[in-house]
Amino acid sequence: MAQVHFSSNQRRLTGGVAEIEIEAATVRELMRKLEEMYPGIRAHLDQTSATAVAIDGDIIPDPMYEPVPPDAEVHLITPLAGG
Amino acid sequence: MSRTHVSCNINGDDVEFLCDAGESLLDALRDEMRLMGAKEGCGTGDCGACSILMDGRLQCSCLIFAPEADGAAIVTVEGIADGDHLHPLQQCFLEGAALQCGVCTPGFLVAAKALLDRNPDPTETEVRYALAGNLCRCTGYDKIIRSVLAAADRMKEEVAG
Amino acid sequence: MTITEQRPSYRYVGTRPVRHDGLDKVVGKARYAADLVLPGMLYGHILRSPHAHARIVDIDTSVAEAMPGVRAVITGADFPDLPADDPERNMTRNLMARDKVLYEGHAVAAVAAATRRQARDAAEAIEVTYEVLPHTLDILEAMEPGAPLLHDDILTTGLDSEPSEPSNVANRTCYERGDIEQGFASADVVVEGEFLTKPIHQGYIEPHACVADTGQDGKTVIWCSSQGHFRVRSQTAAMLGWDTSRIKVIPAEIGGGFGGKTTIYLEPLAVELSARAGRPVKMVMSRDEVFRATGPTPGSVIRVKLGATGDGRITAAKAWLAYESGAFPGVWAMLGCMCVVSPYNVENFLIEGFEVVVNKPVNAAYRAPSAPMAAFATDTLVDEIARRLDMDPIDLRLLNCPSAGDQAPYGPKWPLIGLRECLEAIRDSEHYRSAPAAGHGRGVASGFWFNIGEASSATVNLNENGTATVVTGSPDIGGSRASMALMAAEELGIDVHAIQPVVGDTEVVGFTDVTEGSRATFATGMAVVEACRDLKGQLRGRAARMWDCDVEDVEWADGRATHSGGEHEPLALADITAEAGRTGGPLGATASLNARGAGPAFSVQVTDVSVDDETGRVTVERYTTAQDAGTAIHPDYVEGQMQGGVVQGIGWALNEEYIHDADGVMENPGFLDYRIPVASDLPMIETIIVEVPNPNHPYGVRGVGEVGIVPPLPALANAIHDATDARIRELPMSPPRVLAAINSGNGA
Repeated sequence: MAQVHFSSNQRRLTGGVAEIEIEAATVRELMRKLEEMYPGIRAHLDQTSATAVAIDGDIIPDPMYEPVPPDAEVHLITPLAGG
Repeated sequence: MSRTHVSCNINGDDVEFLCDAGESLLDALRDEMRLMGAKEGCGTGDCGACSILMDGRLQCSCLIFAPEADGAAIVTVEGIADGDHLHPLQQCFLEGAALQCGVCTPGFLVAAKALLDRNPDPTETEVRYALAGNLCRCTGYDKIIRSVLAAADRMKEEVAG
Repeated sequence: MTITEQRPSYRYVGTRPVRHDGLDKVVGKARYAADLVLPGMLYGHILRSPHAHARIVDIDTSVAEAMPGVRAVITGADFPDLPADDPERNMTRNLMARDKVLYEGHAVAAVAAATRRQARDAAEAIEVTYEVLPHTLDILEAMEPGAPLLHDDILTTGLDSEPSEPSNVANRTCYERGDIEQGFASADVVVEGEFLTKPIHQGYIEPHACVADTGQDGKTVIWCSSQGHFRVRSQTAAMLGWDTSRIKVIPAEIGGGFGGKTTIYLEPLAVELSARAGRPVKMVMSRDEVFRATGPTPGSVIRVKLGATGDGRITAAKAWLAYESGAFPGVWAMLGCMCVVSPYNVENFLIEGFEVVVNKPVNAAYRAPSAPMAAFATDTLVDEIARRLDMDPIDLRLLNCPSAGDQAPYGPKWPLIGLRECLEAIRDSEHYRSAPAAGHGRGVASGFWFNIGEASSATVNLNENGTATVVTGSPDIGGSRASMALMAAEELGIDVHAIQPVVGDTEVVGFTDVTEGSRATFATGMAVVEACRDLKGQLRGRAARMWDCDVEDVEWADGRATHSGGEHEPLALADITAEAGRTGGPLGATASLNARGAGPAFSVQVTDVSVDDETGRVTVERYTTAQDAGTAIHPDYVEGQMQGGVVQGIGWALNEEYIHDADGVMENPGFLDYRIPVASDLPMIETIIVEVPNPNHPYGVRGVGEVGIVPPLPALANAIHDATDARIRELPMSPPRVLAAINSGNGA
C-alpha cells in the first residue's frame, strides 16, 4: 500500500485527512482512486498546479504512467521551475 | 541621406567604409566591416563589451561616432592574436577558464591588453581597477583577474627569456 | 581545494581541459544571435507602453506603414487570442499586449524596416490611444481589497473558501507540520522579523536577440539566444497558432541567461514580421528594453518567526511569504515556501505563501528562483539565535542539519545530501579558522536548491578517424559542452579533445528540455553516457567481427578492445572505426531519457566585510563558498558556477534593485544606475568543492548552477551586523540604507 500525504491546502478536500494508504500500481490508478474518495480533488490539484508527484523523494513532473512501488511514500506537489 | 567616407586602419589593414554621420563606431565595425567581435551589451558605455583600442587608447566603440575613426588606428579583439599565435592573454583566458558565456570576453581581452601595454607588472588591485569598466555576469571576475595576472607573468618571462 | 570522498579514479572526469568552444570566444569568432547577417535582412523594432496600466483604445499604424523602408507592422490583433485555459496564454499576452498594457515597457506593436533607424522611427510614428488606469506597484498594497486590479479573472486559489471577487492574489500555498503552538511553547528563544527585497534582474550581458527567416512554404528558421530552443519552438508555435513542425530553431551561442532566457520575448514577432515582409528579420533588444520588458526576479515581503531551545535546537518556524510576480502570476511564492526552512530539521512549522501580481514586468526564473529571498529571512534569524545563545553559527546549523531519510519541509524524505559536509568544510576552512581582521565583521549562511532532471537527448557518432561527435540539445551557458566531452571521453577511453561536443538544432537532435534547474550536466550528461555505453557494445561487436570470435570474448576497457583469450592484439577505437564500413557501417548511438533523481544542492558560505561608518559602503574583504557538486566533472567550471553565483548574490545583497517612480516608470534601466558588481568591488572568491556523489547519476553529478546565489544575502547581512551591530532586513544594503541603520543604532 502506498502512503499518500496531503499538504495543508489539499486537506481541505480530504476533510482534514493528512495521510492515507492506497493500493495503486500507477499514478493514474492512484489518482482515479483519490477522485473516488475525494470528489473534486483532481480539479483542485490542477487548479493549484500540483500536477507533479514525489515518489519516495523523487520528484516526477509529468507522472501519470509512473509505477507506484508498494509502500511508496507519495506527495502531490508542484512541478519545479529553475534558472 | 549622404553617407560619410572614412579611411582608417583596423587590425593592421588599411580600410575604407561609408557610414551615416550619427552611426556609432561599434555599428560601423559590425555592419560595415563585419567585424563581430566587439559586442553591444548596453550601448551607453557602461559594460565595456564593445571595447577597442583607438590610437592605443581603450575606448567604448559604442560611444564613438564612426566618422571620428577617420585616420585612426583601431585594434579589435580580432586583431590581438599574431596570426595563428594567440596573445598570452588569450592563451591564459583559455587555460584559466576565464570565460563562461564569452560575450564579455572580447571587451575584457582588449581592456586587459590596454593595461598590460602600459603596465606590464600590475598588482591584483591594479588589474581590478583597470577592468572595472567591463562587466561580466558569469564568472565573478576571479578567474579573469587570475588569468590577466598569469598573462603578465608569461609576457615578462617571454621578454626575459 | 577539493574534498574528495572515496570514489573511482577517473582518467578524464575531474580534469580541467581547455573548453572546446573557448578558442572561438577569445578570438572574437563565436557567433551570437546578434552577429548573424542574412541577405536582404530587415530590422525589427518594438513599440512599448509608456504607462504602467492602461486600456488600449486604438492603435493607428497607417503613418508608420507609409514610412520609408517599412515592410511590415504588427500588433496584438495579428496573433490568435488563446483561450483562457491555455497554459501559454499569459506568455502570448506578455509578448504583445491585447486590450490592456500591464506594465511600462509592455510591447504594443512592432515594425520591420530596411534599417534599424527606419524601424525605430516608424515604431515611434505608430499612434496608440490609451485610457490610463490606476496602477499598483507595491505587494502589500496590491493585496488589499480595493487595489487596482490587473486582471478581472484572478480568483485566489488555495484559500479556505472560494473567493467571490477577483483580486491580485493568484494563489495561497500552505505547508504545515506538527504543532507550532507547542513548538514555540517549548522554545527558550524566539526571534522574528519582516524582510523586504526588490525585484532584480538576471543581468546577462547579451541582450535578447534573434533572426527569423520565414519562407513562402510557410516554414520558418529561427536563430536565437536561448536556454532552450525546443521551448522557443513550442512557445513560438503557441503564439502564432502554428504546428511546431513549421518551425526550426537553431541555437546561437548564448551570452548569459541565469534563468532569464528560459522563456521567449521576440521570436514570434520576428517570425510574423518576416512572414509579412517576405524577408529575414533581425530583432535585438537594447539594454533599456531588457530591463523594462524582460523578467526580473520577484520582490518579496517575508515574515519569519523561529523558536529554539537553550541548547540550539530549532523547535518551531512560522513563515508568511508574499512574492510579486509582475503582470502575470508565476510559481514564485510556492517555490519560496518550499525553500524557506529547508536547510533545517524543524518538527513544527506553518508556512504560508501568496503570489501577487503588480504592474511591473513579468518575472522570469533567476538562478534558484525564490530561494535567496527566503534564505535572507531565515538565515538572518538563525544568526540571531546563535548570538542569543552564544553559539557558533556553524555548530547551530550542524545541530539542526537534515540528512538522508529526514522529512524535507516540502514533503518527501531527503535523499543523500551534502549539507553537513558543506558545513564541516566551512568550519574546517582556513578562512573560518582564522579570526576576521580588526574592524571586519563575519557572517555565515547556508542555502538550498532542488535541482531538476527532465528530458534530454544525445547522439554520439564515431568518426572514421577514431574521433567522436557528441550532439546534445542543451544550450551551453556555463561550460557544459566541456563536461559532456569529459564524460564521453571517460566512457569511450579517447582523449577529451578527440571529442567534438555540439549543441544541435531542433531538427538534428531529440527533444531536450531547457537548460535550467542546474540540469544540463546532470540530465544531458546522463544521456551522453547512455549513448556511449551503447556504442561500447557496438564496438565490441565490431571487434568480434574483425577477430572472427564471439562477442563474449571481447572486453572493452581504456578505449580499446581486448580478447579475453589473449589471441589477438588489442584494437584501439580508431582501429575499429577505420574498418567500420566493412564491419557493418558507421557507428553511432542515440539516447533519450527523462532524468530522475537530480540530487538536491546545498551551499554554505562565509564572508568578512568592512563597513565605512561615514558613507555606509560595505566592502567584501574575503569570501569562501563550499558547495556539494556530487562529482565535479570539470572543476574549473564548477568553481566558475560557484563564484558567479556568489557574486550575483553579492550584487543583490548590496546594490541591485528596480526603482520605479510613482507612475510606475522604471528609473534605472541601464548599467550605470542599476549597478551590478564590477571587478574592483570584489575579492577573490575562494571555493571548496564538496563531493557527495549523487547515486542517481553514473558519475555522481549534482547540478551546480544555481544554489550558489542563495547564501550571500543572509551571509552579508550577518557580516554587516557583526561589523556594525546594525541588523538590516531590507535589500539592497546600499550605502544610504546601511548608514541609516548604523545611525539609528538598530542593533539586535
